[in-house]
Amino acid sequence: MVKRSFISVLALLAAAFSVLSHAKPTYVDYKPISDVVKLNVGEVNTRSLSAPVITWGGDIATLLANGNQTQTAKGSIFDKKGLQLKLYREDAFVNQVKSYVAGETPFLRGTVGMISAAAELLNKDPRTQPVVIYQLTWSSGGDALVVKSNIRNAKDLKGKTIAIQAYGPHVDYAARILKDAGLSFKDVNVRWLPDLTGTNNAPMAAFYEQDVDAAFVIIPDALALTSGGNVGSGSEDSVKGARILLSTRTADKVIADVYAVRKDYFDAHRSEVEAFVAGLLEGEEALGKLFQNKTKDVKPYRDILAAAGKLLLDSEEATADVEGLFADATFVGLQGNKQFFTDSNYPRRFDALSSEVQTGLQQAGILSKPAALTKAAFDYGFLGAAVNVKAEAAKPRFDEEKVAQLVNQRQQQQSLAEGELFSFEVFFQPNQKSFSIDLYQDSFDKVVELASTYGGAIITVEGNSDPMEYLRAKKKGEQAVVLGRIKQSARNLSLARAQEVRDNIIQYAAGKNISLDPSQFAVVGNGIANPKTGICGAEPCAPKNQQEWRSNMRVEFRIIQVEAESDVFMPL
Amino acid sequence: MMLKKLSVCIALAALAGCDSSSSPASSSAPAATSETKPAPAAKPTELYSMRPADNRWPARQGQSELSDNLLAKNYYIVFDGSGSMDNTDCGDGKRKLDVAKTAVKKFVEQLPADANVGVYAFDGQGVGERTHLSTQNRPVVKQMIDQLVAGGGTPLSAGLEDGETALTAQAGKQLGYGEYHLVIITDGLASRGYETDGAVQSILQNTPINIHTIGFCIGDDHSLHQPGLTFYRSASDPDSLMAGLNEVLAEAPDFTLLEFQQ
Repeated sequence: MVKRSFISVLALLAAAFSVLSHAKPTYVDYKPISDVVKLNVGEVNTRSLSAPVITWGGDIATLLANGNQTQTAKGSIFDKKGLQLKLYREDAFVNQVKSYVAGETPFLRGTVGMISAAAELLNKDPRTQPVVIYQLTWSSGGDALVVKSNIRNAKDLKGKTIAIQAYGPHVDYAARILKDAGLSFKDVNVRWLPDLTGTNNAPMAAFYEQDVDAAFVIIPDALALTSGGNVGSGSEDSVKGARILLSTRTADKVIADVYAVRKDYFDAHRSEVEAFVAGLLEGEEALGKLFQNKTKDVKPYRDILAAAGKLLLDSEEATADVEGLFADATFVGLQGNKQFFTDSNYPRRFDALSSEVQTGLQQAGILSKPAALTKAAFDYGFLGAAVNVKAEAAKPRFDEEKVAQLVNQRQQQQSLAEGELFSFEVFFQPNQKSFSIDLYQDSFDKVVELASTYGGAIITVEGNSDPMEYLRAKKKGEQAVVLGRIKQSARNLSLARAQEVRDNIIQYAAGKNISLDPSQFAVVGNGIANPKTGICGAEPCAPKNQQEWRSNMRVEFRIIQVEAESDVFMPL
Repeated sequence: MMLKKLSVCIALAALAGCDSSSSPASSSAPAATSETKPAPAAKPTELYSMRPADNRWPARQGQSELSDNLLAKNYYIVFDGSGSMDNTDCGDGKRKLDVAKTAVKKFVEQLPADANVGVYAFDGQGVGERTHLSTQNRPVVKQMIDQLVAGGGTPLSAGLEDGETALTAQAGKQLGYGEYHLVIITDGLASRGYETDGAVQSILQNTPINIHTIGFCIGDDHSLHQPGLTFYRSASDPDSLMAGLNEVLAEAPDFTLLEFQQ
């Protein structure tokens, strides 16, 4: 993923409010959406069909499909499919819901989390029940959790105060991070804010408050707060000591951007909805090609940048920002939609994500009970064939050699735990050379799930050996050559164990029809250098009892954030 | 590298003696050093093998291509083809060089197919690496050995230093995993200026490289013979030379799971 050098317009917006004042933000109560929007259902206006977009990279494709115009242009993708749409930007989700309920548009544009938050209300009337029809993107860099220096990892969030936009895209993101740290909303103090960015009532503004420890923000705000993604110096808009703990560059399968449509409209206009989805698919593919061939197709490329700048950022000049928006989103296309909606084995499938999100929203007090989200159950293969969009085979996403070198470097510096997001261990039986998958099924399931969720993180599989053999030989007065062999042998053994475990996990996932990216896993053999029993002076501590002895025979899985070392991650 | 070493040897010829006339094969040879005593052992705490929690070898050397087999075994042979190897004073009436050639070729044939082997030699044709570490070079290795011509001095330390360098570079590709063996077949003492103390100490203190010295027809007091620190085998005839080489393989068995018994 290429990190853009700057986000001019968004950064200016952020800077503008921070320069003007650091007035105390106004927090809001995060109430169920039914307390905010009344369900006065109106008929859908089909004479002049409109669809919302939000300030997000995925929506560039929607605009392209509409012919770079807010009103469908003649000869555009949507026009050829018989659609006439008016695109309008609405970043305040509550306003979207109001328009949707009123029938001004049959579409909702948000994340699975945002639409889930409205589902309890919208499901009360069969007409407004949301039917999720299409996934545009995963957020893969556009959203971040910024923390102050008192927080080193996600577990440190316990008891801390976090600023989050109410009804925004970060509620379910927060829920997921807390969950993986063994926490929930009950373990933290949340300050809810009405805005996402650019005002004194956004999480970025709250982060300047002394009693706020962390904030979920969009990436331009995160970069500003952390002096460009490093550690905040305290100058300009940064907060001293602030850093990005985790962005969606790492947690790249958490925030799913989707379109939903009203059930009454879906039932009565299924062919139009299918045409809309087919148009989005085609728009995505066309946009991908434009960005790929931007040096050849200069004019159409410039045209879409200018059009997207105008619609999404209120400035035709904001072309660099549009490129940044594009870079922060991963378009899922035909293959991704098939996987998301129809692959029952895919850990990040719509049903699983929806369930996960709703659990988080319940904990946040925004849902009283799970509110089922309906999916369209389209035949995406048929839709793809109709628009001649082909599914692409998955490619390795990491530079394996660079990953191995990076992890090796960190091992030598004893800094493997740096940037650690989550970890857990698998313990071995004595003399165990191979694994019983049954024995480690829960752990393997966890790895498969985490690997699928944190697609931008490196997963290290660290093998360790027990030092008893070495220590016993030394005590016996064995010669240095013998001790050296034991040491190196133990190191090789620990690597072989890690390799065995990695291979088993990939095989295990394959058995469930889940394709893990082998390049995401880096195996490490610590030998006897990192026993659970610790280091005594310059040597591994001898285990004092059987429990300690067994504790050294382990493989540790560690999800590590490598956002600062961006060259290990290859853009798709 | 070979040319470089050769030129060094030429430059030093007047001082250290690089031709067969000043071969250090005999203990009475004027060019030989007085390395008749084992080199002083390093302090135990300084040895890499005595630092069990230290996995810092090899030091990071920037980006290098990674090996497909991180656990590969590596054998770097330093072959003494100095002038004295032309003698038949031991070797069952055969020239020592011929005996050594036969034994080393057989040794190479016995190496695992996925092991890397490299050869460094000093002989009448020069000093330096003849073939770098590789799994695909067996025919070349045997050809190089066949082509050795007895002559020149015994720049042992250069062989050790280059061997350490080659094995360390390979370790960079294997991230330090695997096995590393420096196998030295020699019949004599180092030429002046090529004493091995420093090179041996460097290897022992900084690396997990196993030093195997097979002293061909010399006594047990060779400078590379440091009990407890290097593997040493005195080969006094063709059979014992072969046995010594076989021990190199025996010293490097497939790693097995350590017994975790209390």
